[in-house]
Amino acid sequence: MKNKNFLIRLISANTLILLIVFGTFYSVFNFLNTQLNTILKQRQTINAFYNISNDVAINLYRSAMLDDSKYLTAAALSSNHALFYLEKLDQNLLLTQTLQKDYHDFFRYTVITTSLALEHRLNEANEANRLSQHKQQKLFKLLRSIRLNIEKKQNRVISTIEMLMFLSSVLLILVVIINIKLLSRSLTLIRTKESEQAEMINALGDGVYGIDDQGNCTFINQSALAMLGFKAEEVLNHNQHLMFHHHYPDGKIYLHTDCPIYLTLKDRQVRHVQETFFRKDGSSFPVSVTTAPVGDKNGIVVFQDITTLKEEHTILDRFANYDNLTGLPNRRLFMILAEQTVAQAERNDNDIAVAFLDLDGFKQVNDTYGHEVGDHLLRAVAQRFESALRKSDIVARLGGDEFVILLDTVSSVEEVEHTLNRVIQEIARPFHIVGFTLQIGVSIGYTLFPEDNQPVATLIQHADNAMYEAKKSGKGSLRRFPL
Amino acid sequence: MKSLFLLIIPFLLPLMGNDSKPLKLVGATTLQPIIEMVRNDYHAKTQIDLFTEGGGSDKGIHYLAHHKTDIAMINRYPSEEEKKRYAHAVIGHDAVAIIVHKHNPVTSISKQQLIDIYRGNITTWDQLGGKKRSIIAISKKKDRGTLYLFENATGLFHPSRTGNSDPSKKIASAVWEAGANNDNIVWVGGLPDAISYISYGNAKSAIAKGMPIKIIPLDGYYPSEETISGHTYPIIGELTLLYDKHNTEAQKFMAYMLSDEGQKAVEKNQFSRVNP
Repeated sequence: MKNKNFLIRLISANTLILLIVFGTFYSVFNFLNTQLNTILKQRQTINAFYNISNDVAINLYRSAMLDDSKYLTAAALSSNHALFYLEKLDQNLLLTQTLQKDYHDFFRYTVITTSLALEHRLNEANEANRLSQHKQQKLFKLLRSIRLNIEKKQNRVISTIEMLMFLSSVLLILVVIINIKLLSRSLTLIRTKESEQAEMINALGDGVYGIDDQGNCTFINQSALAMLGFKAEEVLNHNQHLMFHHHYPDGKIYLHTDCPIYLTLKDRQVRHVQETFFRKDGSSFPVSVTTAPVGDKNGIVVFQDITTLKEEHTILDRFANYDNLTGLPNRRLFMILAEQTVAQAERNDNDIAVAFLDLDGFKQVNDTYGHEVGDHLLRAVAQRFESALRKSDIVARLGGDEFVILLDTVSSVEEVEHTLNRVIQEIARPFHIVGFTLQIGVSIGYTLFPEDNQPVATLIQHADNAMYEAKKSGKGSLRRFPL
Repeated sequence: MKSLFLLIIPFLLPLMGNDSKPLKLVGATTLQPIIEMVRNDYHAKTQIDLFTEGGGSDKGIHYLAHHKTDIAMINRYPSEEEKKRYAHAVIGHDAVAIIVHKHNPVTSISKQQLIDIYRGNITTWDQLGGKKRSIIAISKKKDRGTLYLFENATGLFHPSRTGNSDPSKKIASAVWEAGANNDNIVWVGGLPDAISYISYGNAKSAIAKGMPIKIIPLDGYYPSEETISGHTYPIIGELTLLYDKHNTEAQKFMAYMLSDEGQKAVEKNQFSRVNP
């Protein structure tokens, strides 16, 4: 934008200079040219006057010599002609007045001489001739000096024109030099700015690359190259999509026309998306991509490697949904998973069982051996739960020594009780924890869905109630929630 | 150019080498062309050569008095004394025409305007309805017959004329003075701002030869046969020849001039004949 303004200003300044300076030069040149033409005309006029004045003299002398008055008419006509040219002379010429007077004198006395000859008064004619010769010489001398003056004036005007032309060429050269200087300075400025920008882009931690309307890479910064494992020359002028954006993370081919970068080139809209880029070695990594249009056709892509971010997400997820001690899902996650399973069971017309478990004798272990041993024991219990159950079943720790189990797709009460009894037996086996042999048990209450057609929270409550009954009837027993 | 004048001499040689004594006529250039016209015819008839010389009426009288010429040609009126002393005869009538350049837009002039021009009161043509340009007024030398006629008609006089001292009647010193009639004619023809007075006959001859001049009416009158013979034209004159009463050759020539042949020459030179 700035460059555009600069160019516009430069062009306007040039136009102004050319208009003013060369306009002035042109006017002055025109003026001088007109003057030159006037001078040339005057020169022609004065020459014509000179020649015709000569004709006047010749006709008069011819008349005198041939004793014939018919040449007098020719002399008079020539004189008219001469005076016509005299009129045409620039009246500002200082000598014009004198010239007219001298011509009159010349004409006057030459006519007198001629008349005397025609009167046959030869002595007087010869006498008069001296005077007329003198007048004629005076006239012709004046004419020559006028002619010289005009020539001088002409030379002055010509040299002024030459000077003017020289000056305009010098000025033109100056204008060209100044223009070149200004342009080169602004170009250097632009280049410096561009290189600064390039350095800045290179220095950015984010990957940045530019694309043209064909999706080919126009530039790429160091960060991007480092992340992608390519060299600049491998990427530049190549299609970025084919280079490192060719597949979905699951291995399906990513069509060029579905690429958000391509879409941005089409609709000129800024997009923030998460994508997967592929390194030169074929490995992939998740990226957060911002694509934006540049100019009328091109685009720019800024991306960050979000692998670490993803991992952090996983950790945070774990904190939110899993029990820190046992690694089993916590109540929150259990509720989510249970609700999904219930919904699925409803659709598939399956039966599921929800069991509530409470350890027997855990409090005494804690009190006797300390919390550390208690924690170890809980981890061991969790492992035994998982080993006693199918993969599709879900075990979660609700807190303390309370657990819930969801058995997916059960076919009969017997099958449920068989599984849960196996859990009771597993827990009843002695645990060897840090040198101690510990003996605990578990009491389990359960309910069946959809017989007990209630929300998950109620199902857990019903199982808890049943567990409470089981505890009352003796440790290590199993009770179904009565309907 | 100067040396060319020496070439005039050969033209004069034939006049010298003749058997018969030539008859010499000196005076007004107004009459000169008439005499020159009859020269060949007169020579054929009488074997006598005619030799003319200009210089003006007064010069003719002066030469006659000093026996330097046989006949004096004058175009002014002879004085009473001259009439008494010499035999004289009028061979033609003339008028003094006012001439200007052919392209001068002025078409007429009054006697008063003419007087004002020559005494320097009117100096530019725009005062007469012409262009804003200086007038070149052309008069005659003091001894010229035409000047006498002009002086008589206008009351003006030549600046160096003795016996007349009214300064308001003096011809201005800026006025050009012509000797021969050719001076007047060529100056007016050659200078578009000039004005002159001149023998009507000479002016008409010059116009007939293509000289770019024109005659303008004076006080509404254009010189012509009627206005001259009827004396209505303001400045008229006579062409007179004077000679010694005993000069028989001069007498013979006079008779010739009054004959039909002589009068034809008068007429051919645009003057009015005396015996129609």
